[in-house]
Amino acid sequence: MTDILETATDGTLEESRSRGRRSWWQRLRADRTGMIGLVLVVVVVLAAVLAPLIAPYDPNQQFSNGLSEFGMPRAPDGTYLLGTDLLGRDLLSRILFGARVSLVIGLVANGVAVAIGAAVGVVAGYFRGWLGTVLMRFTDVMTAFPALVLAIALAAILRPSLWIVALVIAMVNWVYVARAIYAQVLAVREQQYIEATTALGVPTLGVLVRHILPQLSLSLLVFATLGISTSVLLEASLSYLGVGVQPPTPSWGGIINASQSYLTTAPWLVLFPGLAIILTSVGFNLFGEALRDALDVGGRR
Amino acid sequence: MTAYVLRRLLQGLGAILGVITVTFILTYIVPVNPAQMIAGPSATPEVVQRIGHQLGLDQPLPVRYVHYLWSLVHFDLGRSYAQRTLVSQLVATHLPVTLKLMLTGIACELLLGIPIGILSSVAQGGWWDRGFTLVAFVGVSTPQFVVGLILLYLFGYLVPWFPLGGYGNGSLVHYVLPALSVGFAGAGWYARVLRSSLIDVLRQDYLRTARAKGVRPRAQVLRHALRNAMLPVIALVGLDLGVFMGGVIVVEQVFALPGLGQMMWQAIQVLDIPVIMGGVLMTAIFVVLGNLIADMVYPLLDPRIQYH
Repeated sequence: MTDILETATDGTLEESRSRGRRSWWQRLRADRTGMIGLVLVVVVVLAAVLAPLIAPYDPNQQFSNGLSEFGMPRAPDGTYLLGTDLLGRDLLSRILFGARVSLVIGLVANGVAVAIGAAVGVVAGYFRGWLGTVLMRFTDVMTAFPALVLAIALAAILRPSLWIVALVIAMVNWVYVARAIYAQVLAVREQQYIEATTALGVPTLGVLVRHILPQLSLSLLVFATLGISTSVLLEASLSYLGVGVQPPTPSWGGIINASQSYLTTAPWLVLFPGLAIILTSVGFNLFGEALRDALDVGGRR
Repeated sequence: MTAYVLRRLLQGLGAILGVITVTFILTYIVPVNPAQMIAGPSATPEVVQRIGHQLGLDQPLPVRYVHYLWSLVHFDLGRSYAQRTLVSQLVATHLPVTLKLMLTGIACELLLGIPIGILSSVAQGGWWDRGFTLVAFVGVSTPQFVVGLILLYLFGYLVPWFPLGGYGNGSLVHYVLPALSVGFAGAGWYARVLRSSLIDVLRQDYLRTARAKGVRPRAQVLRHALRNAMLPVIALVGLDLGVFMGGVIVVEQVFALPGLGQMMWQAIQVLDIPVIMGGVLMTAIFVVLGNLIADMVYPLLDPRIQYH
């Protein structure tokens, strides 16, 4: 009886009724900034997928006319739309191909992070007890490590490659997912239908996979979107420090790393890859937040 | 209250022990033989084995763990492979720079974030407010090193107000652009948090009373509302320290500041594991300590909170 009273007074019933008139899809469509985010995401995804078709040149080819007579990079002009880099390669082509690196790492790293975080959060939240305590204490300890610092150390020691970098980013990012999912599972497991399924003799694994995971799917979807931005930023910082994806593979952070000493003479070499990073990150952030609001689930900042 | 402080200190100690344990495990699962690194690539197996014995590498893992803890209690972080100096000495020379950048960065976050937050809450929904929202959003989505390079180009080169990187004699002028770079995202973010918490606080009864008894608007916000509205910001500064620390490490690289980040970066080039791990450990301990300080400041600002 008190349960019913509590539900009725905290306003969730009324709220969900008024929200119910529009589907989450309609709410998402109506979110203007969210749609701007979606457009940015689509542009980046298209750039990555279509890079071999739309890139004007081979990203790794060094052109003899790509450097000025003083051996300097060429400023943006009609031939090289965004200019050339230190080795006379076309910057636009390198940025387009760099989108592949960023997106692959962003998607893989964040996917793995969400999977690990969800597994840890669900197990710790459902079983609680000593197992839950150990898992969550471990999660707490891992959050004390500055993500970037830990990633630098790991990437440096493990010798960076595309997959290692993705894995390293996943290793430092899962903790945020684990914490949020843990808190949610604690609430979900107290609901009566879980008690009912347990009473009916559904095996534990079945309860976890068939009854608890679906409750978390929306949050996980939001994490899967918002976290891409974090992963892309982390990859850019690692590549900038030289412990990310190694040259000649074009990556945005790597391009900036290579051309930092030319900042005053060839600022476009820093500006354009920097813009690519910012637009990608803004896109996933805007879209992710709109998705969170539309689906009405909590999530991290 | 004393019990609360004691318990938090104990928890902090536990967290530091956890951080040390994880660092220990990381050090020993890396595919590098420390004895080989010290002896050099051309050393005979006997020499490598002797050095390994000196380092205690032939002892069982628990014994090594206790040794590791014991040396850490004496501030002994091991010896650098490359420079043959003590890691603790390296840390001691690089730490002040990182600390200064941290403090000036947090100062930037708050000095920019608080006024902007107040302005946006007062001018809610106006053009100022919207403009700041956009800047804050872009700030959170921009890596610190890109902010740093843009600032460096604008205010180091185009308008040469500040040095083009480097440390010089370590005067404050070398810290302005780096501090802005690490603080930019946080300033925007905290301005947003403060804005929404101020809007909530301004609706509360005690502010209606303040208005009713004729407190001027400026005093309503600054004297009565701000103190309460700051609480979530303080909590967040503590929570975000880990992310912030990462930014500090990268920005040191942009501006060539000789802090822990540069120490680690140089160590990475030669795979100097003790120095890398020393840097990881120090930054993690800093985050734990920072969280602890935030938790201690919190009750001073809000005496209503009950401590269990």
